[in-house]
Amino acid sequence: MEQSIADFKAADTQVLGVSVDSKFSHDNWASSLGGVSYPLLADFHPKGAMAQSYGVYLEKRGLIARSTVIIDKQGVVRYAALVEAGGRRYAADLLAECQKINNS
Amino acid sequence: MIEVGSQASDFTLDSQLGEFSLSQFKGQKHVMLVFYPLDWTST
Repeated sequence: MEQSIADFKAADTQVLGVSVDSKFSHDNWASSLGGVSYPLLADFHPKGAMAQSYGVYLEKRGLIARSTVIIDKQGVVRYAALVEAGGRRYAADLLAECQKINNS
Repeated sequence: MIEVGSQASDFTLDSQLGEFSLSQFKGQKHVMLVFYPLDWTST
């Protein structure tokens, strides 16, 4: 996502990463990647509570499912999708979803 | 998973860049939540 942040910004979209790691882990990981300019949210305590409210917390595994949710400026969910096992997500596809909101 | 068309629930969480809430972007920006299992895995 990092390489596409400017494009999302141009599409009026704030990108927020979310996992159950602490902000200290996020900080280390971000540094190892050479810096991450968007926030990596720590759904750390109580663990997974925010992910649970979006229906993407995997209770048994204690992890958040790889997935993406796009919320418009009014707070309405406009896109929600899980990434298939072994699959990946493409910034260009997600950017197109954000632009779709702007054009609707 | 939360359904398209529903109202997103607000949250306030800490990050490596400080605290962020969904509500702070209301009326200003769309928000894309990129959920992933753990740091050190691909996003």
